[in-house]
Amino acid sequence: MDYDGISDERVFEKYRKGDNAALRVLIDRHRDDLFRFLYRLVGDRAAAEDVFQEAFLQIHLSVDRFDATRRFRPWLFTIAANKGRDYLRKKVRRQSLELSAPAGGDEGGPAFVDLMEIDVPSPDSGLEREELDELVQRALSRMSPLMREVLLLAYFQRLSYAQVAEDLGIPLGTVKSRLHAAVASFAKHWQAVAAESAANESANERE
Amino acid sequence: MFEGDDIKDAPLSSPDADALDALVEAGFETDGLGERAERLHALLGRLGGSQITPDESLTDLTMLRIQRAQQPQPEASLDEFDKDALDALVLAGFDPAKVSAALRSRARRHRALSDLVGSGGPPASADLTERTLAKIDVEAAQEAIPIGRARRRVRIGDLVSIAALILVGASLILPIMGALRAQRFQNVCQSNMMATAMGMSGYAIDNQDSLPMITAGFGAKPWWSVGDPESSNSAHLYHLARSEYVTLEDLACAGNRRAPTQIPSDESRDWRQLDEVSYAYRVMGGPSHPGWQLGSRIVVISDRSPVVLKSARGYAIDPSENSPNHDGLGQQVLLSDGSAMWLTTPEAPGGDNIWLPSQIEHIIDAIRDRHSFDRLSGREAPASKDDSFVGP
Repeated sequence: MDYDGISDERVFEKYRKGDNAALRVLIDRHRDDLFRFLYRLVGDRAAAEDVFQEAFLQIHLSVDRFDATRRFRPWLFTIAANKGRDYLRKKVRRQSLELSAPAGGDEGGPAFVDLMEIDVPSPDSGLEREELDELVQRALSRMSPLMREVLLLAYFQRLSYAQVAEDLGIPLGTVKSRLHAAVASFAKHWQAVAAESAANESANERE
Repeated sequence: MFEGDDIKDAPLSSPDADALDALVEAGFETDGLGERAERLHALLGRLGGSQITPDESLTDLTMLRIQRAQQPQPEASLDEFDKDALDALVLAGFDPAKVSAALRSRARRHRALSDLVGSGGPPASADLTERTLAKIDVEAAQEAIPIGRARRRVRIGDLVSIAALILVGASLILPIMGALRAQRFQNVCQSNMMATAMGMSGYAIDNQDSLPMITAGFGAKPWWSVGDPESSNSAHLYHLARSEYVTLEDLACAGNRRAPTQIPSDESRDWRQLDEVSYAYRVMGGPSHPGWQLGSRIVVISDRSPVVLKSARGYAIDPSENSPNHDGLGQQVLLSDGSAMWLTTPEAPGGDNIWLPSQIEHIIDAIRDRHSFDRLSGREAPASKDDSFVGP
């Protein structure tokens, strides 16, 4: 069957009615985006793949609970974010048991961020894609899991505040303030990792 | 004064200890206990420290701290212009060109940050879809179907109508269900093959790149003598599970209902009988053996061989027959380079029939014409290390 031009919601409806091939279509459609989202969220390829599978398994198990009036993609990403959060929670628990690691976070109050003072690399910045990915991941890993999740949900889905509020079931004002804080947090950590990278490079050049 | 002024690291004197005991026993009432007890009481009374009182705001401060701890504290905050620019960008569907000129440059920065995070990252594995579907299939196979217990009176006529409906429905649904089931089993087997490939890699790392092998020869018995590890070819594959490189469940095809999923005891060295074996393994007879992920790309594991099953039971074979694991539709195979594939005929890439050693393949047509070759003896070996030949 040709699924081109058929919305996710209708493809999912077909799956619900027993069309097994429809699930493969949905997985293929969202595979790259969802995997990257999860990789950014959990910071580990194997874990991202595992959470990816868990998310679709949950979709399969919840097949009868999907509200057909809602959009599929936000539902999928919300489920994936929940699964990712579970993974991170277990991981933190393991780490705290193993290492008794102190909680991260900066001393003192919040720092104000002005985006105009932050260097955001353009595609022709000279940084290799892999290097850039690594820096982004490092900055994300320094954020709190909650902030990271809010940032990624917003950036990967590019939804309006109202849509995010509806999908997450939280007030619109909360969505706004959380995204403001999440972007500020990422910008701050990005600034720090970019500066560290530049310092390392100049140290290497001196050697 | 108490006896023993230097009380540091020194026990109470015996009279003081007796007085303390008496004081405690009397509920700290000194009446009639004597001077020593009164002195003790006076000293202990100072410990209460009635002047030490908490500040009245302590409760409020404690509650405030708890409230703060419950709320995530922003570690950084956006500049007010950046907040407005972000709101405007979200409102504009993340298109900075649609943001008012005053905020556009900041909106572009937001968009650049968003692109930085939202793009890039490693690509998903090519087989992630397959593995996800296989996981869902395994879960679906384990799902219990709740059966309703409600009862109501029905007439014979109702039952006849229902039976007719079921028959009509079944005639329509069964072919579809059969196809879905077959696809599910294929996916499960592919997942098993990938798990086994990982196990084989682990074994190879620990054993100089070799394939699992526990005995050098099969003795006088056919190598399909499952249950006799000295003779059986399947015991080599079983060793992989016994050594915990894979689980026995990884070596159980959903299409083989007799396949055990757990090793029954520590003494088990092979499946108990031929029917329990789901996958055929490279026949490890002959003088040379291929390595794992070394040299040629040959089939090392496949769904069980119909040729071996028939030969072992004395029936004529058809070398072009597919495995019974998947209703004769084809077979999953694992190659020595670690890749898995679905074959719709028993021919491996290159045309090698995986159910037969190549010397028999080469002469089989001539033998068919002139002799009565119609089965294996169970003593054949691969012609060379590059010959794909699996059993049972």
